Amino acid sequence: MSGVEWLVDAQSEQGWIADRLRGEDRQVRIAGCTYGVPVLLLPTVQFTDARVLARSCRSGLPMLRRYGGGAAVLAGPWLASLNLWVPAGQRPLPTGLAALRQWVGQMHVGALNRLGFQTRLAQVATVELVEVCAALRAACFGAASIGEVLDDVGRKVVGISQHRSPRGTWIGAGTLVGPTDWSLLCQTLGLPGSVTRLLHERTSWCPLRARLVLTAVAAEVSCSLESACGAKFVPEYYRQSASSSETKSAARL
Amino acid sequence: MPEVIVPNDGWEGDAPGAVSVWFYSDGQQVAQDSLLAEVMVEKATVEIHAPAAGRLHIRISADELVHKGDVLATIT
Repeated sequence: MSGVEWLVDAQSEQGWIADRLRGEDRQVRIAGCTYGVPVLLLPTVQFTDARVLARSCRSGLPMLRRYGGGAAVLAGPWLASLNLWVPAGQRPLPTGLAALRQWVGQMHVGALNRLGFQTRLAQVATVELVEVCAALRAACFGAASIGEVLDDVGRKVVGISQHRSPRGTWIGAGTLVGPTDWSLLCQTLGLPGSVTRLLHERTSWCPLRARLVLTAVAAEVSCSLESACGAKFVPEYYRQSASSSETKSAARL
Repeated sequence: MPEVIVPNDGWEGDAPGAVSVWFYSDGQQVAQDSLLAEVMVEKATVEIHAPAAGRLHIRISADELVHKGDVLATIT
């Protein structure tokens, strides 16, 4: 077990983020999250859309307001999310929105490539391409921004979102680790069937266990922080909970 | 008169953002530090908090484009 907090559903994940954004946490923290059942995560604007609410009620799909920018995310067993909390003024992490996204993207590329799944950073935003199909922008994986992660043929694998408050920045990265039920997402959002097809074409997934992916990315993040800080990075949570020498050494990742 | 400004911090380049939501209405009383609005830029949400207590006067409505440094509202 590494120095990572583990969350097992979307509700506890959003609670974890809220605690960071509203609390006084001055530590860099990492939390991995997996999802046992599908849940629709909507940014504020989409969450207040009464039509989406009505469709979600009809479909029985649970829905949560999510922090961060971007569009709707359909979480489920196909998604593995890494959450990173960066308190305001924390160095040496990049402070810019785009720079931080690219840094987190690079951590995923390093980890996934090491695990044998070849990826690269998106060098060009595909948002412009999406103008031909504005509906695609309603879905998080419908377009890629610079710094998000693509597979070796350019299909999106990792989506990255941020939320910045005066206390710091939460940045989350969701990796697709299985086939996503895009038709469920599109039906709930009221998007045409052509969008479902485009999402299938534009996305990919890495055939690895969610915990393995998250542990590898957390290790990449920790090593990078240790290297930059010149000191061992161990999240506060781990320092509080670690008791055996075995788990202490594991915290070094 | 305190101004509610889109923060420069962390916002690289001149890419525009958009006010995604106001949590208060024009003319409503707000407390200092209360969360007034969210601005979306480059798949990031930036919270906008009240620099002072008072009555909110919104200058830029939801869905309108904004740039860093823009005055979103004033408080009297």
